[in-house]
Amino acid sequence: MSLGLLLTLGCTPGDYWYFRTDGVDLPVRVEGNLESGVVLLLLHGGPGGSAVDYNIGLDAELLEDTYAMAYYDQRGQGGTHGRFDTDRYTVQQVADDNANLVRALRARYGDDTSVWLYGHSWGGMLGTATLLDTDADVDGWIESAGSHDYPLNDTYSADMLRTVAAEEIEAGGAYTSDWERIQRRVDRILEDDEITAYESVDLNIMAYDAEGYVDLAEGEYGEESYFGLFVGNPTSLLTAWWSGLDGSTLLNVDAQKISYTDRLDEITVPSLFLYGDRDFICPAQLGLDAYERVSVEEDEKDFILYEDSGHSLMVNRPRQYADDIISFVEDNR
Amino acid sequence: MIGLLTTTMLSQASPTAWSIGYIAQGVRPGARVGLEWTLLEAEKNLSRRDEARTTTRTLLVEPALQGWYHWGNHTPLTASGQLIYRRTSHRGWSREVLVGQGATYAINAGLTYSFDDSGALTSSRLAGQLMSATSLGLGIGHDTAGATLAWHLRPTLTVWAPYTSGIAPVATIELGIRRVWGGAQ
Repeated sequence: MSLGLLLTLGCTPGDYWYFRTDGVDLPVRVEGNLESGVVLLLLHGGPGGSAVDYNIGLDAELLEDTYAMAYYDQRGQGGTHGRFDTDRYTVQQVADDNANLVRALRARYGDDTSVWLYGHSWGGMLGTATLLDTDADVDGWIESAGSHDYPLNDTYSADMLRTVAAEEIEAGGAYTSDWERIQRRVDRILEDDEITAYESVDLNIMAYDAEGYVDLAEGEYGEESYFGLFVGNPTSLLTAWWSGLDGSTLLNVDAQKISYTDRLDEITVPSLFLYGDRDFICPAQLGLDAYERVSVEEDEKDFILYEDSGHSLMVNRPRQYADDIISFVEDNR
Repeated sequence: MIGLLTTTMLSQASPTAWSIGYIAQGVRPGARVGLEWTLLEAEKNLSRRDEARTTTRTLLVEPALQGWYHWGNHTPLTASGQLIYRRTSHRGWSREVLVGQGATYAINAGLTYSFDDSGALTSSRLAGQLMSATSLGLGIGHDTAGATLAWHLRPTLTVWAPYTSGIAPVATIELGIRRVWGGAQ
């Protein structure tokens, strides 16, 4: 494969622009089928991540065949530029950015463009905040392994880790000693009524570890090259990593107190909840709660659980994942 | 401080060398041009057996312009003044420490959109960010052609500030040549 082709694979043709709002320039990369009239606005995970991570993979390629995907880096993360006051750097401010970006997408691609919020993991928190606390006018909501309630997320993670640890220890598999370690740490965390911020981080680390101790669907990769992406990456990895550290800390401190579960009935747009059955980071129970609480008719909402899938369920089940999103959007656009 | 020094030198004397280099930030290509003024120079002579060895230590100031192109991100253009300490051995090998201070204007790739006061979406081709740029670099190089021409390799870490909620580090490497103005020094 020639170097030129590799470079090209990392630089998929698309509409690349910046959106300046409230002190920052947010990079927006719109790829895929703009003629569909549907734009899925990807809210990346993190905090401290980048939308570039979601711009490769078979699921992204399949979604782009049908719809336009708008990949953007959130304030202070990835390839964003500018400067802003950290005192105002909150979930609400990023949600306001999302709302302004929805307006910008319609202004650029037409007022009749159907704009959907599509959040993964941390993006689930932001999408929910955008729906509940801004005037964003969106056509639908897709929450993929999202966390819209940090305290409840911690409780569900701890419960799932403890339950699966007990099962795995009894089964006596290759990772028994790792599960015993997790069991001891989770038991210690649950000795107190409240999970502290430090313990929350510890749970998150254990949840990532735990995914490595269970069998997950192997997944399937697309044609876009990781090497090509590295060479043609629109973000500077060092700069993004460094600025993302600050963003991660500041936003997590704010999010630690946020629980949207009791307000989910204020969501009235078509809503799709996608979760992996082996996701210890954002357990599927979060999605089920949200599915049951949103104020949407039965045929305008859905909860889908993916077998043998973890937090990156789009990697484990890319074809089914993309098909489910497309099917839901087609039914509700 | 370095900027003041650079300005003073520019107004007082002729440059002693110019340099041009290929600069890269990761895999992103760029260029750099600079002019050197010698502030101080000292030679140290050592006699080893029948051979006289001269080591030269030089303190220089260098105003420079540089930029690189980062696809899909930005084109940062930097004007800076650098203080360079260079030690050149009798065989022509040199080692350098470089400290710089300047300003960077990073032009966003593509169009930058924003809403104006009336709520209309407007665009700009040259929108970007102005930041201070503080750099620390190391260099190695070698003189050739009777010390009138030299090459150098300089890895440099630059810190941009302010950048989003704080500062940002940027690593570059330069492969350049230096031509002594009007012949050997």
